[in-house]
Amino acid sequence: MQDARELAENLQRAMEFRSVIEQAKGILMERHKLTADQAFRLLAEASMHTNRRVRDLALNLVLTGELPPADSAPGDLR
Amino acid sequence: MRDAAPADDPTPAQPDDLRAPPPVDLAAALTQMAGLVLSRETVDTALELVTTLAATTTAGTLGAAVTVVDEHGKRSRAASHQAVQQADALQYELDEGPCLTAWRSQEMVRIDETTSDVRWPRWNEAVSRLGVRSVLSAPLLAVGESIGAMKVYSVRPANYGPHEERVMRLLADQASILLANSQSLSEARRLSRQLTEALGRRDAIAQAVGVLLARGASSHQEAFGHLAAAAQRSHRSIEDVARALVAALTAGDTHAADA
Repeated sequence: MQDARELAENLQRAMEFRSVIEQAKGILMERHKLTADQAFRLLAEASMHTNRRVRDLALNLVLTGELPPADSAPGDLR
Repeated sequence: MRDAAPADDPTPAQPDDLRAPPPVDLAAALTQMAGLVLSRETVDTALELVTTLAATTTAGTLGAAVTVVDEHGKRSRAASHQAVQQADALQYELDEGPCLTAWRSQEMVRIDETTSDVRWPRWNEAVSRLGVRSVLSAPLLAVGESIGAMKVYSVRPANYGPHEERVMRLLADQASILLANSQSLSEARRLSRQLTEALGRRDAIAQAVGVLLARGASSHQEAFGHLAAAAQRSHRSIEDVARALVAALTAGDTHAADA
């Protein structure tokens, strides 16, 4: 039973992160005219360069509208 | 504050973050949970044990099998002999025979001589050509519901009597328990599929919410309110509105969607 409850909690959290990441993708899609995959890649690259987790960056983007630059030349992201 | 890693030497990022896009873990988790109950393989092996027991404890039996009836149709499992499989297939094909009657009536059915039995004329004639002469079929009941039948076939006429009926009743109980378990497994798989679909709907709506946030919506709630209002105006689901909004975006036409 312990395992089932733990699993349920993990799933619940995973679902919340998932929605935040999708929202962040939507923001980037609209802002930079990207596809969903391109938007996710932008998040992943920013994650790599800032050494922060994708879900943390996504949450920050949704709350503040800001994403740390993933690259010194953001122009070639499209 | 830490220095950013040089671009040509990226610090190993969390690997799960770079697997794009995040996988749907829900389905796997639920299937895993169902697997903890009883795997399909376990059920099959146990069913085979039961039909083998049925075949060997009723003397003169050619073979045994279980007929399963559910939303996917009628089929045989754990057949202990090829002729059993054929005789069963004929029942499903002709839609008549002792096991289908046992399943429908929830009562034990016995045929003492297929060459003279008149209850299932087409099936009797077909299986007597296969060499089957007598049959005993017990209904499988799970919580009062009939889920199939377990049968033994013999090449000898009048091979089965009250003793075999008792044995079959006991073994049918075991098979019913096993099958009821395997049905809860497929039930879990169905649930997992539904959840995966629901997750897809959530994703579409969350993306559209993000788009509206980028367009100036002040909060997630406000953005969702826009979607809900647009859905009501156009008599569409929120999911449809969300998908149209995102699709118009990637199609390069940002003004097509009404949200």
